[in-house]
Amino acid sequence: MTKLVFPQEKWIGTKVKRKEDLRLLRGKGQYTDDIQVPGVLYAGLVRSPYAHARIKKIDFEKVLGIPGVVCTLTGQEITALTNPVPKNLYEPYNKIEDYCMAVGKSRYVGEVVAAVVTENKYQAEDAVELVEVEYEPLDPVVDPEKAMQSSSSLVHENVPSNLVWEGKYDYGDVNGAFAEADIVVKDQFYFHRFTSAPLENSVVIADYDEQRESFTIWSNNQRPMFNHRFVTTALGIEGEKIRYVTPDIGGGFGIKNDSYLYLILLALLARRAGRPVKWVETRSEHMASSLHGNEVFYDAELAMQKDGTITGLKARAVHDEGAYMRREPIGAINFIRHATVGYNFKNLTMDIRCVATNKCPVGPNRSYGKMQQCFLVERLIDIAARRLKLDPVEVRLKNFVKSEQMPYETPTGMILDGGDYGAVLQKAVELIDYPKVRAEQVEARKFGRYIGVGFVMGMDGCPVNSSIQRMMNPKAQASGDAEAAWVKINPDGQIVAAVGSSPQGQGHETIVSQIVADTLGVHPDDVYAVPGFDSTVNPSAPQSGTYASRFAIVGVGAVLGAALKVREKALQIASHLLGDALIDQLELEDGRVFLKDAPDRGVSLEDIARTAWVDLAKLPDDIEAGLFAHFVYRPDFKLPVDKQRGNFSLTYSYSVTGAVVEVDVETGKVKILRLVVVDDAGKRLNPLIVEGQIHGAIGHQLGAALYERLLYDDEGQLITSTFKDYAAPSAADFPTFEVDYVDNPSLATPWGARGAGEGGGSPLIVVSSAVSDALAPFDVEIKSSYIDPEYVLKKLVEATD
Amino acid sequence: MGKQKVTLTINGDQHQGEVEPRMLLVDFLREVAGLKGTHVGCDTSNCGACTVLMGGRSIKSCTYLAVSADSKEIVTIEGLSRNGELHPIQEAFWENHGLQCGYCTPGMILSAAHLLAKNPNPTDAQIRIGIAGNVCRCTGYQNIVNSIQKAAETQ
Repeated sequence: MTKLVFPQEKWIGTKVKRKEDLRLLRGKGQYTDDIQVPGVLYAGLVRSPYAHARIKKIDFEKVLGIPGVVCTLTGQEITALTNPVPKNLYEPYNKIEDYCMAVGKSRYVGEVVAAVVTENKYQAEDAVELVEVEYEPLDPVVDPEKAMQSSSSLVHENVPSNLVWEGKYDYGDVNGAFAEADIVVKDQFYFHRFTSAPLENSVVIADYDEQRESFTIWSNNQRPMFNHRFVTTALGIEGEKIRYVTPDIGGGFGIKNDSYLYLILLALLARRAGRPVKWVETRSEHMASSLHGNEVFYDAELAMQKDGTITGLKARAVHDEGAYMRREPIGAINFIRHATVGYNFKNLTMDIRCVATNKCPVGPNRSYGKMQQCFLVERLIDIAARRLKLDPVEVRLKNFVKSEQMPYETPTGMILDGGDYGAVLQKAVELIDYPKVRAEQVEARKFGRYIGVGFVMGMDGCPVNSSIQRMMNPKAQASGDAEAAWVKINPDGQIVAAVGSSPQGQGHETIVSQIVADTLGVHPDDVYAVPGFDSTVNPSAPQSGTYASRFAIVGVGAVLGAALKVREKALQIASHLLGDALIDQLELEDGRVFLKDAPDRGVSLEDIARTAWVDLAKLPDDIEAGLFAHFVYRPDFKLPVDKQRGNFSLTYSYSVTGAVVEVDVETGKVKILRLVVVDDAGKRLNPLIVEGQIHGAIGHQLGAALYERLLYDDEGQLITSTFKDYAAPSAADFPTFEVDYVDNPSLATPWGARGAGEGGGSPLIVVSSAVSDALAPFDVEIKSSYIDPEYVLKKLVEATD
Repeated sequence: MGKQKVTLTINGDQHQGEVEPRMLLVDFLREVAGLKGTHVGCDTSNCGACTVLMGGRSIKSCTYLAVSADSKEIVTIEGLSRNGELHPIQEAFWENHGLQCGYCTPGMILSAAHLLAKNPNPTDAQIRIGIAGNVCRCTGYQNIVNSIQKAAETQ
């Protein structure tokens, strides 16, 4: 195999308009709910109204009297029908059992307790209302600190504590660093619970073929092949007994990574009903019981020298995990991949505690576990800089890893893959015109107006080296990452490509076409990139899917690898057809292979393909028929260095966000006056798409800082369970933002791209930085990632009391 | 409850159905008329994924009963492009990367159509307020606002 390098870069790196748009713009996209499966039934799910309750009795009597009811299912039956989904936890916490329905008791509001299958969806809603469930309410576990005390009731009674996972990490000489530090800043910080709430809720359709004993599952899960082992384990069936289809997906952002329990549940319902069954999640179901982002309580300290040099970090992080560890503790452990953000300090300790509570489970949510760590470090730096009366920009510049130090190994084993953090920050500073804003700030204060400015860094390691699983379970037998693709040229000359990803708006069809176009010397419009994912059509690896910003690395590698194999074979056949011309004397351009020295002597790709498939006697003897190649790409990932160190990402995408805000100290309202993001995704394979991803991350993260919060009351009731209460912002809530770039190719990928699109939290974190700066005259420091007027006023009252 | 006969003109074509009085307009469009371009995102008329035009005005079809829409003229996203040609708003969304997952896009475009019909030269702020009833979770709205601005310029 030749090296994975683009033979030319005519289309890669350019703003090719998206192919998928032509169907999506006309309302011709196909989302899961749009799929028409003949004879389909509808599932309605009965959900727990209690955060914590024993399920005493489930009575379907009233349901069975109404028209259209086909069958029912309860959690009690589930244990006989399925196995629990395997978890990556130590003894004894791996005894926690997670099924697709509550078994014996419900552990959060919205947990599925029973299901009813009916002929149409209105009947399903009626039926759900008529199921009578008798509950015995139990003490809800809602505060993770209290949950760790022995007096707390247990979320899972078969394990000794609600502290279900714990990890202590220690790098360098932290005690020495703190003993010698000029100052230590110490405080408590809170990273709030929110969700990226994709606009399309989860949808699953399952069908069971009794003769073949196999399932077809259509869904908008972001990574069905990744979740395949959970589904097969739960159902107790072999791998090839399930066909997965994911058509167009209406946004995911990580929230649809782990909807695997619904795939299992719908498979069971379809088998029981003997007909295909569809389930369409409502928004309220989604908010209460899909997945929430990680909520973390920090006690942290930062050690600094007088000149602003950071010397050490100590933190205790308590994660409110909710009722089950569905993807966790990966998010909690993800601190390792971003522990020092872009700074060069060597000494740190992290004490991670994952606590089960009676809330919705947490899991991947755009910048999973990464923005939390960046928030902590960036907040501490600002606070220390203020204490030392140093400029926070200067402090960051002083501590950044320098571009000439790259590749740079951090104390936790991250190998930073190039970039120029200082240049990115300085560009943001220039775009904001920092000195001018500082002058305006002084002037405004004279009139009782409080303007603030902040610059923060966010980092996103991607993709995931699965050997990070060994951090939570040393027996885990996984490492690296892989994606699969195939490329072929059909006998009629049509060029087709398919990959194992299941995108949710990232434009993979377009990028795949760009890759194949540059490899085979054709136009992107000449390439048919198979839309969506179908496991009987698309190739896949057990890691396949679209998550963790992995496509720019593993997806691209897979497609490029397959396209290069097809190119190589096409050249071999052309060489033969052109009278054994030397391959290095051949050129491939505009769909035609020709001799460099005699361009009129050539053969078209179409002719080559026809020969390869149907004019077989003309092929050289030693060449396999056909013009097709399958390639599984794996980046160069290693095992962990030891129990607490490893390079668990390949590329470290980063951005600096600068913001100017104004805080109304009477009402507590924060207004964003300007927002600038400078990003370094390395080589931007399609700058149009990369920019869209950056905009999207700004939207989510600014929304999270100012508007979006999943709020539980003391009984474990979710207060924000619809879009009326959960303030998904509109266009009118956002300023116009500015995006710019500093392009430093990644040293870790042959094509120089980094995974882009999660933002590392910088647009979220910058709000806390700029609001703190605005309120400096009151000596207020923001310690929460969520900054609503109530919080701002509370801080002002505390400061003036 | 007995079913009722409903006749709607959707994108110029007549569609009839015998429906339950509680059937939502969005379900009529999707299930009876088979037009899947109109989406549901929230059920509480906040997100606007279900936006269609009724008599030229944008309405949210997830909180409108099909029986109330009887004899009305509806335009859905499928009715916007003619003879395979993209409508100028669709074209502008394509040119300016005004969509990612595409789920909000039909509703967003129909809200934009209503906005531009009322106000052919909107300012940035007027566009933002004009589409405030439509939630997009992918784009941060910037390219949507740009797209509508460009569509206004070319219309």
